[in-house]
Parts: sequence; structure tokens; C-alpha cells
Amino acid sequence: MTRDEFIELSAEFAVSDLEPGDLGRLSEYLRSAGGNDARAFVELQNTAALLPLALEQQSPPAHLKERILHRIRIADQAAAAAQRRTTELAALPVQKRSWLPFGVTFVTLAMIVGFSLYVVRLMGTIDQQSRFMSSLEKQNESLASEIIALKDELSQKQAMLDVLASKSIGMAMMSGMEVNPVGYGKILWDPERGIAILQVANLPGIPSDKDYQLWVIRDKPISAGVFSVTSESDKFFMIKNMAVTDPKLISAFAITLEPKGGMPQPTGEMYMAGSPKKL
Amino acid sequence: MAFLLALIQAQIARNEADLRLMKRIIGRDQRAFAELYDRYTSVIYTMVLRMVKSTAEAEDLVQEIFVQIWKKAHLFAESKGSVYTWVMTMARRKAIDKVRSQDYVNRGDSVDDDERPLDIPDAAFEANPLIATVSREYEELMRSSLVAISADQRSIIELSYYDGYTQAQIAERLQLPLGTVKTRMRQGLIKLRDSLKGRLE
Repeated sequence: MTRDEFIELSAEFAVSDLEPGDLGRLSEYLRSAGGNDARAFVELQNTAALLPLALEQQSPPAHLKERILHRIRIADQAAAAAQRRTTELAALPVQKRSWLPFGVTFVTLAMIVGFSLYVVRLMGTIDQQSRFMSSLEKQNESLASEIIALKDELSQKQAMLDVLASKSIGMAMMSGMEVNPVGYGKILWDPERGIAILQVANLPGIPSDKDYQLWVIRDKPISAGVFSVTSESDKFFMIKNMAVTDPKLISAFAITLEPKGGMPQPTGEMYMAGSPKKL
Repeated sequence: MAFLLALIQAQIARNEADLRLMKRIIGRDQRAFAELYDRYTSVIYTMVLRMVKSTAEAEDLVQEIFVQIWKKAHLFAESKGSVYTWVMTMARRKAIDKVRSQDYVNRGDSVDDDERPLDIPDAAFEANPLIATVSREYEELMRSSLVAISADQRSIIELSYYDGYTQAQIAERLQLPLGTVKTRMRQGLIKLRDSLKGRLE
């Protein structure tokens, strides 16, 4: 940089801003500048700084001074408070590093991990036991159903034995009608107690919204109950409280297919029918 | 001649008084700060008012400038110049920031509040007749010296110093080549310096 350039940059620096590159060059020059150049630089800065003295001097309002003094008092108080806090923090005793917290933490973590593994294993065992219990319950239900079926069968057989052991017995043989000619059945009943055993065979299975209905026919058909069959094998049904028990008064028995739950009077096709026999 | 000698001696005495004040301020003496305020408030307020053209803004700026002087007093280096130049340089930069802020016309980047990183040899401040201080004598001297420079030079210096325009912006505003702006600024300031020195020596 020539001296003219140096003076030019110094003048610009005094009254304006320099580009970063020019500022760097000026700074570099000043670092190795002789006394004359440095003095010239300072004179230009001072000259520029004196410019405001050429203006008509004005004074700010008097209250401004107090405002500023108040501000610096607050600034000092804040700085002092910050310094106090720093000092207090620095004065706090440094606690020796203890391994106890780390040990406690490690033991706690180990306990947590161990307990977690135990819980996982326990959950597996519980799951196994639950599955086993579930299978036992299903087996139990199956056995219970079987027992109920056996009890029903036993009850029926007992009822049949009771009917057969009665002093007098009524009997009627029923044959299949046109809709199901292969069907047949019989009724044994105890006239004194009004209990009857119905046995049917080769009746076709029926849909779930239908029932077979047994009719005792005297002057007109009287319902003796409903039943359903799911296969054509022999079926036994027990009838309690027959409406009519005197064989002399019963002209016939009949089985019709009726809506689920039965009807007051026969409406469907007749599957079997037969008259009492004199024993 | 006797007047000029007395003026120089008065400037030296004032500068030394300023230096003593700054030492006390660095030692957190609020009374010294109040004295410095009394000494500098008018020139700073006058300059700032010239720049922001609003008394309310000028008062706020003067407050910010003095608070900054209080906070950054420890950065003042006695060997690097007068208290006056340090204070006025800081005040102008603060005002330039304000002028260039969004409240005003955006004329360029703001300047840093801190001292610019220039390494000036201490020899520059030895036996320097142009000691800048606040004084009524200097006020008269500056006014008469400004007459010595041309209106064009004065206009460019004022646009830059008070209004914060860069040289490129001044060139565009005055429709002059950038080189002409640089030359007039440099020549005007050198002529002003020479005029002051001629009156002091």
C-alpha cells in the first residue's frame, strides 16, 4: 500500500466505513507503520471526531442525567448480584465423588433386570397353566354334557322300567304315513300316573324351526308334547302328565310336523299314527 | 500566538482531566461518571440529534451511549487516544446503527459497537498537537476551519459522518463517480485537519 492509499483509507475510516478488505489492509499497514504515518492516522480520526463541535450545541433535558444514572445503578446491582451468585457457587464445597450412588444404581438396575426376567418366566408359566386349565375346563364340560346325557338316558330307562312295572299299562303302535312310510313308533303309558314313553324310529331329521308334535286323539286332537330328532335312529322320549290316560277314551295317537314349539291343533303333515291296543 | 499556546495547554489539561475521570469510572465511581456526563452530554446530544433528527430518539440514544460508556469503560486504552475521541467514536457508531436500523432508511450493514481492531502504535499519540477534547474554543475553531473546505467536500463528509451513507451510496445520491466521492472526502478531511493544525501550531 502506498502512503497516499494509506491516507485515503485513514480518511475514509474516520468519517465512514471501510470494506472488510480495506480495513484489513489498513490494519496491516498500521501494524508496521512509522510514527509519522500513525500520527497522521490519529489526527484524521481526531479531526473527524471534532466535527460535532462545529454544530450549534444543544443540551438534552435535565431529567435525562438522572435517568441514565438510575440505569447504571441498576446495571451495577444486576452485575453485583450475578457476581455474588458466581462467588457463592464457586464457594460451594466440591463433594467427593462417591461410588455409593453408582453402586446403588447398579444394584437397582440388576434387581430390575432380574425381576423382569422372573416376571417374564412367570408369565410363561401362567400362560401354560391357563392353557392347561382351559383344556381341562373343555374336557370337564364335555364330561358334564356326557353325564347329563347319561342321566337323561338313565332317567328315561328308569321311567320305562317304572311304566313297565306299573299294575296296568297302555300301549299303542304307530306306523309311518305316506310322507314317511318307513317310520314307526310305539307308546307305553301308565294310566294311573299319566306317564308315557314314546319311542320313534326312522323319523327324518327336521330343520331348527320345526318340531314334531305328539297328539292324543279323543274327540279331537290334544297335544301331548313336542320333540325333535336329529337322526333317523331310535329315539325315546318321556311324556309326563298325559291329558288323557284312560285307554278306552283314546281313539288314536298321531305325530305331525309343526312349527317350533307346537300348535294348539295339528296343522302340518302327519308322519305317524296308530291306535291303542288292548292288553 | 499566546492564545494558541494557551489553547493547546488547555486541551492538554482537559484531556488529562478526562483521563483521570476514566480511571475513576473504570473503578466504578458513579460520581466520576456523572462528571463525564456533564462534560460530554451536550456534544453527544447535538451530534445524535443531527443524525436522528428527533429529540425523543436522541434522548434514548444518549442514554444508550452513556450506559455503554459505563459498561465498556474498561476497554478504553489511554495510550491509544483521547477520551474525547473514544467517546465520540463510540457515540457515532451507536447513532449510525440507529440511523441504519429498520426505523430509518436501510442504508447498509450496521457497524459493531466494539472498538475496531486497529493496532495503532503508541508513538502516534506522542506530541500530537491535535488533542481532541470538549471545549468552547474548539467549537469556534471547528466552525472557522470548516469554512476552509469546499461546499462539495463538506457535503460529502456530512452525508457520510452524520447520515451514515457509504461512499457508494453518496456517489449514487449525488450522481458522482465513486472515485470523485473518495477524493473529495479525503481531500476535505485532510484540508480540515491541516486548517486546524495550522491554527494550533
